[in-house]
Amino acid sequence: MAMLVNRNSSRLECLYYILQSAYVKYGKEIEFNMKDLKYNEEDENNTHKFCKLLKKGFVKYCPYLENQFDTSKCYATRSVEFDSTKGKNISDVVRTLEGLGFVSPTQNGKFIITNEGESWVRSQFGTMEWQNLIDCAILSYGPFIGFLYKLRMVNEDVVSPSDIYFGYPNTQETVKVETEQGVRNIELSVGSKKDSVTRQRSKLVSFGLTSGLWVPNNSDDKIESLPHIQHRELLNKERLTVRKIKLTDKVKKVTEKRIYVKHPLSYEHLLKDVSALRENGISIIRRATMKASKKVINRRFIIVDILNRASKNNTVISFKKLFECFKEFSEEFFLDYDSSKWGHIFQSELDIAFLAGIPFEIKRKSSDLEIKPLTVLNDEELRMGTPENLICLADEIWIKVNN
Amino acid sequence: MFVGAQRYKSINQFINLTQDKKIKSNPTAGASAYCGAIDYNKLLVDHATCFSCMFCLLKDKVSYHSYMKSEYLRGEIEKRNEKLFNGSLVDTILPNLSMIAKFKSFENFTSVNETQHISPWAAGILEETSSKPVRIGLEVAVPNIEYDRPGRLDVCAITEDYLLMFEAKISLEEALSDERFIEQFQKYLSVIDDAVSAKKLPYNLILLIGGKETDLLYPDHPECTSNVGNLSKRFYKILTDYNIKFMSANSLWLMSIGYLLNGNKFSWDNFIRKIFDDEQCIGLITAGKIISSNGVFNIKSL
Repeated sequence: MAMLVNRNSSRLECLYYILQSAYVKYGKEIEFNMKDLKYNEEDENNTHKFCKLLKKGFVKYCPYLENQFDTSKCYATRSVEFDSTKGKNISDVVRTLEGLGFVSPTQNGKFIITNEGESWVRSQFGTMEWQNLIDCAILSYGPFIGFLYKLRMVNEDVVSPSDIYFGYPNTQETVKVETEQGVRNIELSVGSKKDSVTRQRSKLVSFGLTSGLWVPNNSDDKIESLPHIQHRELLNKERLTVRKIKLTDKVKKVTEKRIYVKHPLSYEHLLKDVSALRENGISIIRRATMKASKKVINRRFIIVDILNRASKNNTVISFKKLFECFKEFSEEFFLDYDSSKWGHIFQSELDIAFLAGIPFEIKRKSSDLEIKPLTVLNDEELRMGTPENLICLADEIWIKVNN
Repeated sequence: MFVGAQRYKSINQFINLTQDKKIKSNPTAGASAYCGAIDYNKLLVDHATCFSCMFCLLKDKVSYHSYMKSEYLRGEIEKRNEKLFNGSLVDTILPNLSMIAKFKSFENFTSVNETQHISPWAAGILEETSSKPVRIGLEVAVPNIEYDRPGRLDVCAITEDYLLMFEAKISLEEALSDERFIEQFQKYLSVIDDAVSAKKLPYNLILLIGGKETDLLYPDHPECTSNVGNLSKRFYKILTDYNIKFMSANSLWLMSIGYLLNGNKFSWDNFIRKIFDDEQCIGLITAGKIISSNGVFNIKSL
C-alpha cells in the first residue's frame, strides 16, 4: 500500500538503524504503531543503540539535530518526549519503509516487519548483501520507477533533476463554489505543490545514488565500490547538494527488461492527502477538492489499471480509444460539463502512471497515439481499497480499449 | 526560441543610438530554447505540439499558413480574437496533444527559465507587432552609481516616439519571493529619466509576469488564485505603494493575436501606450485593464 513520501527526514542508513531497533523489539511477529518507533529514552533497544552515525560530544547525539542536548534525540523519528514535527517525520519513516517493502500494514492499522525487512536488518551495512537488498527494495517502489524512467527519457548524459516535474498531476480544473462573497471559480488542488515536488525529488535522487543508478555530475562515472559506501558521505550530509547527475550503465541494465513493481501507489494514494491542505485562505480550496476527490482518484485509477492490464497482455493502448471511454463515462471522471476541457485534463492525468510506477512510451500512429506501458504493477497493492464498482468499470473499459 | 538581439552597453546607448552607427539585426530565430513544435528548415508548425506562442506566425508567412491549416488551431485562435480584452479572462491555446508537447501550455513555457523563455519571447513579439520601425534590446545595462550592482532591463523596445521596457518575472510567486523588482524599479527610473531627457521620449517601464494569469487578479476577484498566503494582497499593496505597473505575459500574447488578425490597432506602440496613459490603470490582463480607484480594484474591458 505504498504512498508518495516527500520528507527528507529519513536517510536510508538512518532507516536501517531504526528498523534494526524495531526488529529487536517486535521481530516479524509483533505488530507495532508508528509512534512505537519514536526514540524512547527508557527503551534499552532504542535507535541510538544501533545508530552508527551518532557524534561524540558531551553525550552521544544525532548529527542532524541542531544541538546535542535536543530532547528530540533522533532527527528521523523524534522522541516520545518531544516531536516538533507532530508525527510527520515518524510517519515518513514508516511510509518509506513500507514503500520499500520492509514493513507492511496490518488490518488493524498497525505495521509488521516483512521477510525483506528481516533480511535487511540482518545484513551487514557495507556488504554486497546489504547493497543487493536495498537495490531490490528501491526498484520495488512505484514512484522511484516512474522517476527513473523520467530521467532516462530526458535522453541526455547529464540530467538536472530539478528540471523534471515529478508529483501529482496539476489539471488546473476549476469549479464554481458558493461563498459569502458570491459564486467563485475555485481551482482544485489535485496536484503537488512546488515545495513538495522538491522534497520528493530529493529523496528519490538519494535512492538512486544509494543504488548506483546515477552519480553526481562532478564525480567519476564509475562506481568503484558499493554505491551505498561510495556515496555515503554525500548521502549523509545535512542537505543533499547534488544538482546534476549522470546516469550509469546500471540504468540501461535495469530497464532492459520489464520491471515488476511490487509496491506501486495504491488506489487511495493516487491523490495527495487533500485533508492536509492548510495554508492561509485555503479552506475553500480544501472543501472543493475534497468534494471532487472521488472523481479524480477514480480516473487516475482507471488510467493506471488499464495500462497495467495492457502491460500484462504485452499490448499497447490507443490514446483515442481510452479517451473515448472517458468521454462515455464522463460523469464518473469529469467535474466540468464543458467537454472542450476534458481532452487536456485527460492528458494531464496520464502522468499519474509515472508516479504510480508504470511509466509509458508514446508513439505517433497516423492520427492516433500509441501508449506503451513499460513495467508491470503488483495488482493486489494497486487495487487495495478500490471500490468494487470501479473495478467493474475498469473491466468494461478494458474490453472496449482492447478491442 | 530566438537569440541574437543587438547588445547595448547601457540604456543610454540604447535610447540615444545615432543613426549612422551600424546595428545588427533584431532578434533572430535560433534554438536556444527550442519550443519543440517548429521545423526550423521548412518553418512548418507541428499541429499536435504547438502551444501557440504566436511568434512564428508573426515572424513568417509560411509558418502562419502552416498553423492555420490545422482546424483545431485556427478555430482556437479565431475564438480568442472574438474575446480580446472584453472583460473576461481569455485562456491560452493548449497544444492539441499536450502529452507529447515539450511545453504543455504557454504558461508552462513562461513560468520557467526567464532568460531563455519569457524575455526573448516578449522581445520577439515586440519586434513583430510594432506599427513603426523598431529596435529591440535584451538585458540592457542600467548603471546607477548609487547602487553597487548595475541592473539589467530584460526587454527594451524603442520606436521614434515611444520607449517600452519590461522587467520580466516567470511568475507572481517568483516576483514576490524576494520582492527585488521594487528596488529594480527604483534603481532604473532615475537612469531612464536621464537617458530620455534629450529626446523627451515618453516611456513605460512595466513588470511582465509569466505563469498563471489568475494569480495576478486582485484579492477579491472571484477567479483570483493567489489568495493562499495572501500573495495577491501583498502584490497589489506593492503596486499601489510604489506605483508599479504590470502586464501578464498572457495579455501580451493576446495583444499579438489582435495584431495578427486586426493589424496596427493592436501594435504595442499604440495599444500598450494607450492603456498605460490612463493614470488609474495599474495592470493589463487578458480581461482588460485593471483600474485602481481609492483602494478599490476592478477590470475595465477595452
